[in-house]
Amino acid sequence: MKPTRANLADYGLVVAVILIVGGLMVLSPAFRDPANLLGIGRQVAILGIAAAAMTFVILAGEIDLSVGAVASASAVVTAIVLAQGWGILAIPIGLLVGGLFGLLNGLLIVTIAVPSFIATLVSFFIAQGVALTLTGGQTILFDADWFRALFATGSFLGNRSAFWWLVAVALILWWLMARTRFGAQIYALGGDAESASMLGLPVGRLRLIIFTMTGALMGLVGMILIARIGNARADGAIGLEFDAIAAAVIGGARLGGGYGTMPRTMLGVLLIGVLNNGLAILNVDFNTQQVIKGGLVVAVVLIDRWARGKERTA
Amino acid sequence: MKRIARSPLGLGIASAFAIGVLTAGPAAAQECLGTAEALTLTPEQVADVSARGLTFGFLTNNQSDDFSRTLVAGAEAYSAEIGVDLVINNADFDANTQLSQFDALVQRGVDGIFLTAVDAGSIGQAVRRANSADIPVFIVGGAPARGEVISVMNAASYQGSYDATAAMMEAIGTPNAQIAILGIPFALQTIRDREKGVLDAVGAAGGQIISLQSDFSQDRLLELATNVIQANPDLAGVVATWSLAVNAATEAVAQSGRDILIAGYDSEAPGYMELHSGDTNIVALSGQQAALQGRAALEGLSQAILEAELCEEIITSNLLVTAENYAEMWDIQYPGVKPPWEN
Repeated sequence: MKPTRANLADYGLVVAVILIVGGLMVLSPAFRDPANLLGIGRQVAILGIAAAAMTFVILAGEIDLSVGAVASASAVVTAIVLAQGWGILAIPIGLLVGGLFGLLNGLLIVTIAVPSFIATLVSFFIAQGVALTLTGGQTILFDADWFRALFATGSFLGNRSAFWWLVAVALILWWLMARTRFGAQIYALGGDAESASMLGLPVGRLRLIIFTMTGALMGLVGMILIARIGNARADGAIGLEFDAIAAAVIGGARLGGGYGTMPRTMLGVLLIGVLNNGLAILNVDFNTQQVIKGGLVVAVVLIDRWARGKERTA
Repeated sequence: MKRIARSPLGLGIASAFAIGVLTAGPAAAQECLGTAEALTLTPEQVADVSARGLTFGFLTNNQSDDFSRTLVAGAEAYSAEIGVDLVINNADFDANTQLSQFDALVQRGVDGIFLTAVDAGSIGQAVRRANSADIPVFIVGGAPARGEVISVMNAASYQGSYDATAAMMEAIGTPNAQIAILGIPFALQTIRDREKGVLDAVGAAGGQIISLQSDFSQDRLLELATNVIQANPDLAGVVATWSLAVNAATEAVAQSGRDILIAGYDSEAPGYMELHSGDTNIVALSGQQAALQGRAALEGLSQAILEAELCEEIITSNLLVTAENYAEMWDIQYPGVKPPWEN
């Protein structure tokens, strides 16, 4: 039985993705259309980048509930800057807004020792308030085709630019996580923060970097978000945090920290993207889609827990 | 390839005003006030209300969309005009927050409360407490499950979506046209009415609904619209039953490059800009008159305090906004607000 469990833990998610994609291909000719399959890549760009950042946070044993609100606030600021005609300056300003909110999270956690759950909840409210104040409840319109092409609608190597942003972010974060000393330190921090500190790891600095990086990536998410639709709203990305956590958990990241990989998170993102796409094409209603996705998260977590049961007790 | 929007129904206001009168009936119309127009205060009544030094509470379920913002602006402008103090609380879609805000207004002893409920089912107990304190409650968009309200104000949801969809079906002009609905997963009567209006208009024109998808997020709606368009090569039209769905449908159709027509419920700045562009697939949008509703809610509370009888339901008419009349409709729908195409 042991080899079966180990195999399931390692390859169960891959098998699940193959089975679901195969099933949808049989059920729907429209799903298996190559144009549709390529479209899934750009549709998961926002979720994918948020989930990649969230994997780092979860790996370090933390949580970030502010990602959706920070992405929305960055999106609103970027759109206002674009609408004012400041052109390319919108990009660093949008990233800076996200980065500053991330830094605020990090400072609250490191200097005041506020648990990340609370610190990021505070940032959630502040970011939401900032976005609402700046918009006054209005939809911000902007006219910048170059910006939209750069972050979402432009075509490159057969897919839209939003997809390539996801590929770039996922590869860089995978490299950081799996191939650098920084990544190894994050694993150590998430595995046991106290031991990591006793071993001389710069625990505070690592947390500051993780949250600031996550915030800046939410600035990028905000830009892709408004580039896709052509306007910005204060609530544009609210709720993204839960989807990002779900994708990371489906990918096998453990909320306690110390375990998770970028490729598996991307598989989790792909699974959600495929389900969203396939269920819409099959005209499954919203409520049933939610139940199916919720059930899937529970199933994956339970199977993973069962499959890794022996490892944990070993 | 985009098609210039044409409205076969022409300019004008949807027929909801007539519906409001018909619902109440000629005899009933004399007994109770059943339309926004019927609630209008006379100069004498305004002077009377002003002299009483009234304070009204306004609980809004959110202020993050154009409808709610305009509703608040309409109420604020009119409260200043008639000399009523207005206490505005935003629940930001949190039903518990709204309950607390409601109770605080009752404790404060305001002279009347009007609200857009986060959850009409859960607000009933609070309405009962207001009833016990003899505070009149006026609700915009959906009656509470319990408690007595003096009236429920609704937009002409059914008629508005019917008219916009009928305009689109006429522009499509072919039998058995395939239509998709893009909506919002709220279990509210107004949403059901909008969807029924779409179904009836599509059915009357001999079309067929091939997809009904919904979500709360604009980005997710864009995904859904893209998927539905991709999966249905013969799709002729999309009906979007709320503002963010209109934006998403417009963008998805533009990105597809296909000649798919759009009708929508809610006409907000992005929709107006599309119509202004002169190069759009939007045939017609049904616009709720939020500013009028904000004003009429205050007038309703004032009329109740002046002991007039209000009908159980008050319907406010919708506007049918097209490429031909959008500038005129903007001035009616958003009085005093600079059009976005002038920015």
